[in-house]
Amino acid sequence: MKTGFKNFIKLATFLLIVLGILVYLNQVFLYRDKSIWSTDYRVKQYKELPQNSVEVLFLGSSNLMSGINPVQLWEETGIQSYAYCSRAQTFPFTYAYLQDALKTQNPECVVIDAYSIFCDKIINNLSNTDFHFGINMDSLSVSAKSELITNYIYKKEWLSYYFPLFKNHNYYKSWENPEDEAAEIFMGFCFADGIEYYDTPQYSDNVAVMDEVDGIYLQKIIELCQEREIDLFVIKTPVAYTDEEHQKLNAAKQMCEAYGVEFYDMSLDAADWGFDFNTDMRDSFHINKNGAKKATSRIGEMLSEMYNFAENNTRQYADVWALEYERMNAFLELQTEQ
Amino acid sequence: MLFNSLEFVVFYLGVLLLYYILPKKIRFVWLLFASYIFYGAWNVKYLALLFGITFATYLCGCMIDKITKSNGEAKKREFARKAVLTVGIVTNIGLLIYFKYMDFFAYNIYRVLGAIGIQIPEYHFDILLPVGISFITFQALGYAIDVYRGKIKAEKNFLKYALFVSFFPQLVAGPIERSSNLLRQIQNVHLQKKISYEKFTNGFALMLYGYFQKVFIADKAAVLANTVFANPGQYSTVELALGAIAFSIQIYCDFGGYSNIAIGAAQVLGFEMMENFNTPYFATSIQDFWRRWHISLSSWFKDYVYIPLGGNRCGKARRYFNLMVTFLVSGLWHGAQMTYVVWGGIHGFIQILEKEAADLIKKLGIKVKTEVFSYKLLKMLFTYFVVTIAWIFFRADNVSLAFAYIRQMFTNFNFAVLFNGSLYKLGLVKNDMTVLCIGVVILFLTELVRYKKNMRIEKYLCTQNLWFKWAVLIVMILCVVLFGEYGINYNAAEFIYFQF
Repeated sequence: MKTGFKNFIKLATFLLIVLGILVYLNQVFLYRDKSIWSTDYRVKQYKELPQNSVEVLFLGSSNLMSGINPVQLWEETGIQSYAYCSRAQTFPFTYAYLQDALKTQNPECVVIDAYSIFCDKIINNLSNTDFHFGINMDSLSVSAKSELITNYIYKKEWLSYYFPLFKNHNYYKSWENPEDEAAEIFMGFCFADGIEYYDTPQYSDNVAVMDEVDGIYLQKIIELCQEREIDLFVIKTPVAYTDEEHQKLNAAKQMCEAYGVEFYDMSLDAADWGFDFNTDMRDSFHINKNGAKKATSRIGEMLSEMYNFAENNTRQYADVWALEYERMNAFLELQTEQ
Repeated sequence: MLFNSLEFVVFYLGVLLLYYILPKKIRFVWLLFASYIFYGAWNVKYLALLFGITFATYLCGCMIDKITKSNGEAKKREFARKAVLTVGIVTNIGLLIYFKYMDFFAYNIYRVLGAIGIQIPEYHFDILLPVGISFITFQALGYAIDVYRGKIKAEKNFLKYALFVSFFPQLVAGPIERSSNLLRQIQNVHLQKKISYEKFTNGFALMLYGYFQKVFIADKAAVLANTVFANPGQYSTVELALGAIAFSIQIYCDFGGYSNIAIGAAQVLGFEMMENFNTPYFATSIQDFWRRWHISLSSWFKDYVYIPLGGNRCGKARRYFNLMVTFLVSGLWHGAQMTYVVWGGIHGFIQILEKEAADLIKKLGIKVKTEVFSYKLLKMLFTYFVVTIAWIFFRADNVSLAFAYIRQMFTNFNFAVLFNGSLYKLGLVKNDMTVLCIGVVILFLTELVRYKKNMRIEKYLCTQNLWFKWAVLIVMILCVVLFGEYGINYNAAEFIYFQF
């Protein structure tokens, strides 16, 4: 009996050591992206912000990453915001990221980008090698990603998504310097170069049938915001959409209106606030840094009219945004010199 | 259900848990059920074949036993026993030929007829090859022959016999167990002593080493070998040599790894299976190689083909004939392709040359210090060289390509590839190559320990201090988890010998 108990302790200790090492490595082997589109960097920077310092939280895809500049927004309006975005973020992921984001912040307003409307989504068993799934999932907490994994991932890959170590273990093949960090991200925003000429979008008054998954998760987002008494503002950064795509956006607008949620399609009145599809687009879905400057000012104007944050105690953290503003200016000066 | 899949891990743990919960008397029934589930997971239709082979050889054994015990003229009894055994052999071999060799034999018959001017319409047999059929038929046949020879009594309990044939750890790729070993343990499963902690953990340690060999070494070496063998014409001596060496490592770690997982899995369940590999690349001759490589198969061919043919208890010419037949058939056993037959033939032929060379040295009175390190090293290197050249035939798509590969390897010299980064364009990036090299070094060290201490790695670890044992096991786990070829973006590479 004594030997049996001793052996049990030995085995248990060994297994615990192995488990401990694997749990530690699980954190090391999260998907890491060193580009300006990095999700993991944004998540890390967001978690380092002082609690309850964010007044407006932006959530969305790369459209928003390079579309709205929270540092410029702060400089122009004093609003403390963060672009908590991830690549190709669709509404299911927006919901999951929002759940995580609200653990450390209590913004007065959440602004989400409706990029999801334009994506094709397979309802069940989404592609197990989907690049965006991998990078979006890794940055989520277990509680936030459980529902997505259960609903959308092949069963045999669940373990890899709960333990990204098993999915990302082959990083060693291209491992260069793990210490390098993506430095050109400012409160979640990144400067996107390039100009592509586009005509104004093709508008339509018709309303397409909303994608089932989008409908489910937009409703969840709305309900979560209502529960937390947070205003929700759904926008779409300027996109050179087709009329078919605009019909999908109209469906999202219709749903928002039904729930009393503000919806703003920035493409519709783009000319009014100075946006030019000929010169301010990087590609059909992303605005370039010139376009971002204009779009940020526009959103800033609207948010300033809607809210008065100046009296909130969040303003004690203004120095955090001030530091980031200095860093951004230093980066822009360097860019100019080069 | 591949061994290197999550499904197998879950399956095995489930089988193990229930095995130790159930009363000893019915444990074998649970194992039988689990074994059929395991085999059925490949293809449910295979179960009929498995059952058919089991029933046929079970019947064969019972009838031989009954005839042996019956009263009657000894001559008639012997005739009847032989007849029953012949039916059993023909049934098993017949099934093997049907599923595995129909198209091969037909193809060669068409070629032969065509060569002598007889043209007949060609028909291609499109028969699904049941996984592990070569192993299953040989194991069952071995039992029938052992009963005939009186080495073992016929098993009357059909379920126990069925478990012997279908025991899942070794079902699809061996080791080809003998009835005197595995069946005897199954017969006495109700007397199984409580498994010791050491045996239990050693079994898992051996399985871990098997996974290490498979996903850390074999599957990486496979990438390199596949790249080179896919288009040998574009490579030079160095790359072709690397490709051949990579394949020799791949096949050893793949098959050896599988065997270790199988033996370890059985050990955890309280069953001792026979050794299948014993540092084969440390062999000092081809004959020695076959005492170390796929031991269960080579001993099966020795006991059931070579010895019945006369073995070495006859004149030289007949002895050599027996050797060649055994190795040609052994080659054919591996697959329905001339490349395997040629591969087997090379091994048989080299053994003949070795014997002739030894006789010549003796005749000439040449004194050679055979027990010194230099001599052994030279012989090891030469044997490894011959074995690796033979592997080229084993791996190539056809015999002409194998010859072309060898010709290119010995004529297209270009040593610049060692320095110009070409070696990182063979399917493996630099970091992967580094990891593979580290894996090969670790493999060499474990083989050296086995060679010197005559102890398997997990048994050797047992003799060390606990902290060292844990450190080695943890490193192996990390190697598999961090550097193994598995995961979402990989198709779990099948074990090479599953195709046989």
